[in-house]
This record gives sequence, structure tokens and C-alpha cells, in this order.
Amino acid sequence: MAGYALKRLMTEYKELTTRPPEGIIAAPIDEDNFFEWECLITGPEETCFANGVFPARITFPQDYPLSPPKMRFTCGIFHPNIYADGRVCISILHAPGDDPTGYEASNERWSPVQSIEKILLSVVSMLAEPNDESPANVSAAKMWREDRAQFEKIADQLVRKTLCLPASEA
Amino acid sequence: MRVSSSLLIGGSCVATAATVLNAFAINKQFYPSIVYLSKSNASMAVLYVQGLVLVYLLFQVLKSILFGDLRAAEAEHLSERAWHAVLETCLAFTVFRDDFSAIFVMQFIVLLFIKCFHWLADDRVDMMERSPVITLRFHLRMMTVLAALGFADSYFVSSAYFSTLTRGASSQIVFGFEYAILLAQVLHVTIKYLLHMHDLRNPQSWDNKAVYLLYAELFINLIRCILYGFFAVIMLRVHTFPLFSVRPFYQSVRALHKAFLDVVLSRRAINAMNSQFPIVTSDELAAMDATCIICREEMTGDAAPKRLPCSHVFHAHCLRSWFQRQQTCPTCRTDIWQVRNGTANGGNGGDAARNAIGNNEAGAQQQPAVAAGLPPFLPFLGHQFGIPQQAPVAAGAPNVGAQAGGQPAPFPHQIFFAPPPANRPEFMNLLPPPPLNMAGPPGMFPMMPPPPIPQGNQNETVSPPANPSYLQYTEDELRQMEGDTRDAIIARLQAMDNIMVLLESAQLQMVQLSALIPRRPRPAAPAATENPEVSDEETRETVAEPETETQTSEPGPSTPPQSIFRNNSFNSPQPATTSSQPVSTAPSTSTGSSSTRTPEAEEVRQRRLARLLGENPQS
Repeated sequence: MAGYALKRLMTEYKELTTRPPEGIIAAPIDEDNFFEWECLITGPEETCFANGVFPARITFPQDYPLSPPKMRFTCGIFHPNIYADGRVCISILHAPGDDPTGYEASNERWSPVQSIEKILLSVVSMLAEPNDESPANVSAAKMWREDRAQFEKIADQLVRKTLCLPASEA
Repeated sequence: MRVSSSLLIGGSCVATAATVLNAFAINKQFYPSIVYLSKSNASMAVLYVQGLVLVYLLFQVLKSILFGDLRAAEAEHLSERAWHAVLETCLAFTVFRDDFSAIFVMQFIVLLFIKCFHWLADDRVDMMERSPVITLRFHLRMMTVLAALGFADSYFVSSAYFSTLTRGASSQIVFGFEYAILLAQVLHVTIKYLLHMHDLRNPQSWDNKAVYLLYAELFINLIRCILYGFFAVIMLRVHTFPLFSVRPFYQSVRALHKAFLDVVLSRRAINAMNSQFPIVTSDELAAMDATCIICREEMTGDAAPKRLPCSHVFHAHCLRSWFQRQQTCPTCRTDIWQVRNGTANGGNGGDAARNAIGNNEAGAQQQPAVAAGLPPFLPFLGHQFGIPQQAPVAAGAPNVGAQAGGQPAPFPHQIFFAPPPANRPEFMNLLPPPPLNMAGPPGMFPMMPPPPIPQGNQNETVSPPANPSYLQYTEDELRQMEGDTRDAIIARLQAMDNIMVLLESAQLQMVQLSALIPRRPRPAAPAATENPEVSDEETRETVAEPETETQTSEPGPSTPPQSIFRNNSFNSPQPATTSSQPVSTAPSTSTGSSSTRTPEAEEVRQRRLARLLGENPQS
């Protein structure tokens, strides 16, 4: 009998393939290793990330779902809540014990009730509505607050890059 | 990285070949060439590098034989730990600068590589739990690795021990302890491997595995801490403080602390699990969504899932592993200890929650039973004492009275137990707006025809129902009510007002009817002479009574109360005729119905009446 983490990941994989949520694709990179996933997230409509397809990697701990997975964008996304190296900083990916930002309520932290799908949906809404109160990328948060036009331009360049379009001249 | 390391290896080989060839070219003979090589610092440096490269190559070959390709996580762990180990080794060099020699360096490198194999073996065994398929080759490799590492470790430990014994304290102590600690790690990995093996061979999930793993970890960490402490003491006496072992020492103490806490929390969780939280039965599971939200699998009765005080249900083993981390409900994050302590005086939390639920259910079951006890009398009484004093409110009452008597089911039971008329206006304000179809009288449910008004009732001032049927509406009127213009809304509100009035009068009638029930056998007592206070009291008593009443009347061959409603299905067009009970001829007259009663029922009736009149019912 394999571990619980593996079984749960397999269940979630099955669910995600049979009933995929809109705008989200996620699957293990290698079916031998269910603890490394790759996912593609489409940018939410009517935001500066619209139409973009953003690849990310999710790494699951051995005791998933008791501990949260880690998520990292691999496309160099510029966003207030994503570190420069692509790590996603949202409260549901933080275990209730440690508090990197110091203000998150424990009820928005990780719990086994969360799932890959919920994480990805949270990330989509995070893309749509950055939380510049606790920025992971301070310069992105600053730009989001003070120079929205420039922020949108950078986002637009990224969207074009992810779609393999030539960069716009503007 | 790949390119640079192969470049390094190639470069090193070329440099070595060039150095050796150069030495032979200069000296022409074997012995002088060797002397030349060993005398020249540059040549020796090249040779040392070559030696390192060879050891590295050997390590790579062994690694690919024993472990195959490394996974990304393994490679990451390996390089991370290797850097720490190199750093510590450099620190160790400072302590043993007197012993510093080529052999010493080689020993450290061998130690480093053996450590690498230990880490890899550890990661690999952990992977057993994550991997969907475990091949035979994996087992072969694992066993070989564990045996080889165990053998190598014990060999080095014993050689260090004997060299210390024969030659006195030296740097060999360090190696001895390092290998002893590695031996403990091999033991740990072996235990884990055996546990995982056992789990894999079992088709069922093995709930206690996590516990055994925890104990193994506690045990190994204890050994490790003792070893480090022992080592630090010896080193302090022989040399100086072993700075390089501070980090691993601290780490193992922390690991021990964590393992200890884990064990304590796990025990607490298990205790709580066994004693505090009720097991959910298969029947209860069938009635709910039986997916355990932690492992996303269906719960079955065999797995004995547990219910938390917040009434969320999970697998016991899932909860246990979660409680080791967090003592909250995974779904709603209620603190389980807090809830338990809060309700401690009333038994434990789980039971309290269950009792609360049980009470609600029991209450819900009781009330219909109570309600069922009353209505049988209504069909007769509804028409006899149909219209009470309040003539204006009672508009449409006979119709509704008949409806209530024949079809009590659609009315919420509160209506039966409505407070006396004095309180009624406030009560009606609190009532939720009733469903529309409840008052859509004859068109919507076929019901008993409004009975003839009994002749004997002297207070008869019945006015016809204000709006008995919506069938009377014309097409235009209905259309008028459809829109969202002001007129339409007013028309709709008016219709709802009518409904309210109907309901109100029905309710009022109920109250009075239930108050009058005891008087029924004495037709002489006129209902209209009742003053509201008396009827109020009697209502309450009647309300309090009905359960015992239905119970006492149960043994009788014809138990009129329930049967009339069971047999009268909600939509049956002729409710009176479908009933096989004698009482079901109800709506005719009161005398007729009472004459068909069995003696037992009559006796019950008399007793109740006597009690209501203040006499001793037992007499």
C-alpha cells in the first residue's frame, strides 16, 4: 500500500483530468513522480495578465496534504505577490505554524481541505487582484501602486513572451 | 555544471598525462621519474587533483550502479548537504592541522562520499512511500546499498577504535564517531525500509506505520544525540572543542526534540481519538457525504471514522496525522481542545454535539406526533364551533377550518400550537410568509366540502369566505398580477394579504377548537360562552397532554387519530371515503362520530375530560 500522499495526489490528478477547471491545466511532470507537477495558468480576463499562459511548477512535500506544496512560476512573472525567482507567496500555501509575513490569519492558511485546484484558483485571483499590503516583490508592488501603466506594460510583454509573440514596440 | 565537470575531468587527465610524460621525457627511467614527480610541487598538485578526480569518478560509477539516475530533489539535497559537509570538513582540518596529511585528506574525502551514499539511501527509502511502483531492482539496490554501507561503517568504526587503542587519541576519534553516527543512520534507513516493505506487502493501509516511524526516529535521534554528546566530551578532553560538529549536534538535538514532541502529540492525538471523539457508523456515513477531506477517499464503516466536536467527520488515521501538526479541525479550524474543555462539564464535546443533534431530531419527531394527536377531533369540531366571537377575522373561516381539519399536513405544526388569541397579532408578525400554495384552496388541493353548519350552535354568524377561490380571478385580473408595475404589485400584495387572513383565521380556529375538544361530549356546553382566558389555559393543557393521550389510546382496536391522516393522502380527492376507520366519517356530525367510538377511546376521552375539569383522573 503506497503512502497517503501519493494516493491523494493520484485522486486529485484524476479529478483534475476528468473535470478540469477552466483556464487551468495541471499534471505531474513524470508519472513516476507524483510529487512534482507542472501547471499552466491562463491570466484572468480583463486584467493586464489576460490571454497569457503562465507555466508554474508545484512541488509537494512528502506529508502532503498535511503540509502545503510549494509553487514557483517558471516564466519570470512580475507581480507583487510573486518573488523575483517565481515563488508564489499566498497565504493558503503557508502552513499555519510559520508566518513569513506576520499578519496572516490562521484561517486563510494551509489545511488539508485545500487542493491543487483551489490553490491554482487562488493564484488566478491573486493575478487579478494583487495584494500590495504584503508584497513578495517590493518593486512590483511599488510599481503596481504608483505606476500602473508601466506595470501593465511589463505584464503585457510577459503575456506576449508566454504566447511566443514578438514584443510590442510601445 | 555537467560540461564544466567533464571539462575538469578531461583537463585533469590531460595535465596528469602531460606531467608524467614530461617527467619520463626528462629522466628517461622509472625510478628517477618517480622521484622527480614526488619532489616537484607542481607535479604533486596535478597528481592530487587527478586522485580527487579518480575518486569522484569512482563515486559516480558506484552511484549510478547503486542508485541509477537521481531525481531532482535527491540531487538538490545531495549538493546542499555536501556543501555543509565540506564546510565542516574544512573546520575539522583546522582542529587537526597537526595531523594534516594526504592520507588524512583522502580519509575525509572517503568519509564525505560515504556520507553522500547515506543521504541518497535515506532519500531513496523515503521515496518508497511516494512512488507508485517499486520494482524488484529497487529492492535489490536498496538491500545492496544498506548492506554495503552497514559493512563499511562498522569496518571504519572498528578500525578507528583499534587504532585509537593502539596508537592513542588522534584524528581517528573523529572518523570513528562520524562512522558511528552514520551507522545509526543506516540503522534508521533499514528500519524505515523494513516498515515500508511491510506496508507495501500489505494490501490494506497500515495505520500504525506512522507511529512506528515516529518511534524509530525518536530512538535513532536519541542514539545520535548521545553519540554527539559523548564525542564532544572526549574531544574536549583530548583536543579542543569540536567546532565542526556543533551544527550536526545542534541539528540532531533539534531533531530529537521534534521527534519527542511528535511522539507526545501523536500519543495525545491517539488518546483523544480513542476516547473523545465518537465513531461514526456506516448508517450515518450513508446519510452524508462520506469523503474524507484529508485523503479524499470514501470513508467506510470499517475504517471507523471519527466525528469531531464540530461534527466534521474524518478517517481516524488521517485525523491523527493532522493532529500531530495542528490541533484544529481541518475543515473549520475549530480548536479541538478548546471545544472539548468548553463542554467538559456536560460530558465530552463529541457527545454533547451529538446529543444536541439527537435532541433536535427527537424534537422534530415528537412534534408531528403531538400534532397528530390533536387533529382527529377537528373534523367534527371544526364545523360545530366553527366561528368564534371574532367575526371580522373569521371571514372565510369555515372553508379554512375544513381545510385544516381534513388536511392538516400542509400546515406547519406551530399553527396547531399557536398562542391564545390575545398574543396572536405579534405571533403572526413573526411567522414567515407561508408558501402560496397553502392557501390556494379548492383549486389546489381537493378537500372536504365545507360542511353544513350545525343547527344547534346558537352563535352562528358565519360570513362567507372573503376570497375562497382563486379560480374566481378573471384572465385580466391574473394578468394584472403578473407585471411589475405598481398595480400588479399591489394586487399581489392584496392576494397575499388574503392568504394571511385565511391563515390567521385558520390558526385562530385551531386554537379554539383544541380548547373546546374536552367539551365535545357534552353538546350542551356552548362554545361561545367560553371566555378567552379559560380557553387559553385549556389550550395549554391540551397541548401538554397529547402524547400520553395518543399512547393510551393506542391499544384500542381503532385508534382514530393517526389513521385518519395516514389514510388520507394529501391529494386524494375523497379523503373521507379512503379511510377505513369508522372515525373517518368525521365531517358528518359530532354525535355520529362519537357513537362510532370504541369504549376504550371513550374511556380515555372521559378521563382526559375529567382531568381537565380539575378532578382526579385516576379516580
